[in-house]
Amino acid sequence: MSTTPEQLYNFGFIDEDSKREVRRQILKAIALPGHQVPFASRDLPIARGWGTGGLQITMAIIDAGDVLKVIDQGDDESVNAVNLRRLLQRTTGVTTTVDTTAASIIQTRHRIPEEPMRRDQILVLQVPMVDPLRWVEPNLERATVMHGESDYGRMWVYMYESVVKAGDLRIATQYPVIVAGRYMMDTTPIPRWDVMRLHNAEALFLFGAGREKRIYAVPPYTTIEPLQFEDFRFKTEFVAGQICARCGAQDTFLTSHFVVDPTNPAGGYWRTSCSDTSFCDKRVLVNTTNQEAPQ
Amino acid sequence: MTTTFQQPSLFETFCTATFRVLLDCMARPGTIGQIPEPTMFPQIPTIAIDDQPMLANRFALTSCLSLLDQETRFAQAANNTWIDAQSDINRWVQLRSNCRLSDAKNALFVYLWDSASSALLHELNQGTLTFPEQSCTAFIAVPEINDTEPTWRLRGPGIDGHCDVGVHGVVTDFAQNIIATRAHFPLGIDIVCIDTHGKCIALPRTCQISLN
Ligand SMILES: [Zn+2]
Repeated sequence: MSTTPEQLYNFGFIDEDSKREVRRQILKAIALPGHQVPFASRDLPIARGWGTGGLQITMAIIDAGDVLKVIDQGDDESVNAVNLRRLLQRTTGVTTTVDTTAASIIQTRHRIPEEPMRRDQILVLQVPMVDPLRWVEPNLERATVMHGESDYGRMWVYMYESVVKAGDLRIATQYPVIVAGRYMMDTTPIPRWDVMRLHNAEALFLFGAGREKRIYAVPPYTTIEPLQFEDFRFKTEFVAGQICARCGAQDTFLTSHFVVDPTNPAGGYWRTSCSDTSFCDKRVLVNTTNQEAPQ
Repeated sequence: MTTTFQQPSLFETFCTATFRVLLDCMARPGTIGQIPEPTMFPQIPTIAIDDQPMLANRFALTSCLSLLDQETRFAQAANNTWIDAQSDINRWVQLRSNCRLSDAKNALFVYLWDSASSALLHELNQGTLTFPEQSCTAFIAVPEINDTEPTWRLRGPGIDGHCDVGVHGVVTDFAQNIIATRAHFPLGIDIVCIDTHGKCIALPRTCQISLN
């Protein structure tokens, strides 16, 4: 540990006026579910695209009594998650955790934790690209006008053409939804597995995009309807018979990792396990304990 | 782990704690939150109504103030009348927040000292179809909020079915004045009501109100 005096940052790193700006826009985002609210995004000591939008939301809402969890691709120990957690911990002194059920604020990219979130928890999502209309209207200002007028006809046509031409492949990772019957919202980068977990949930979901300088929200108990067609229904990635190689779960979102064989550089194999590593670890622990318990 | 942050001031601590109450209330309309005691402002100037001094609801005025800075335009009204920008109370708010004082039409935040001033809500900016977020947020002081004697039934995003809440001691038209601010979603005014004990409910424009 360094003994040189370090610069004293403001609590939560960003200054109070920046927090107020983010706070005001968060309140508007909640009052307009799914609507993208512009905010004055600040420069942070991490590259844009690595979560500066979500990070500014967390910095604006975090209080000394919070318990913080940070995940990336479901993993608490990925480099990005570790860096963001360290920055937040050092500038707030809050307690951190990997346990979803113990956290009051969870900052995440890509995943909603497998364990259901409660009303006393807030999920802050880092989003890379905010506007679902970018496929049909790359100009952000014109897309904003289209949202204002609920002008979503071209997007429906685009979606239909994508599914007809490519099965459901094109919409596999860019899944637009209608929030509270009004605004079209991109759910990128969460997998389809998590899309319907935004629907009528108990927790509050806040989305931040640093590069595009937008904040949006899905309040609790808010309807989420994926764009879908009679002949092409919304589907998750679930595959019948899927199983986690570590904990045996049959109903989680899985990812594949290459496992290197230390004795044979040319060897190794692919292993499929829960993307939510903390949840998987908990299950592995329970399984081990049960096996060790006297019969 | 090295500590590398300054301890926040009393006011900053109040702002953060208050924001979390407002956040929870806005996300769950009808849920009653508790605004913390604004100990950093022991004395708020009174105003005169018909030559009688009127006390501010310190919880309501300071929670509104917690969101103000040089980027925000602010106005306040009491007894159904906008308060002059040169008045002591407007200067008091401006000195503590650095906000810009504004007319009603251009205000991003207003503080209404009493429910009678809700008759002025129709003058506020409801935003535009393209920029509905540029609408005004109104903080309104009310005598009492509780969940034991419900007067309103609320529905909308953030509410599991419906939520019953009691808002007491307000003028007869209070609910109607608020309901009129949400006739043209996504345009509308987002409202926070705070009682004399700091009990708080939020009524974002998505929230539909019916009288019990
Ligand atoms: Zn697993």
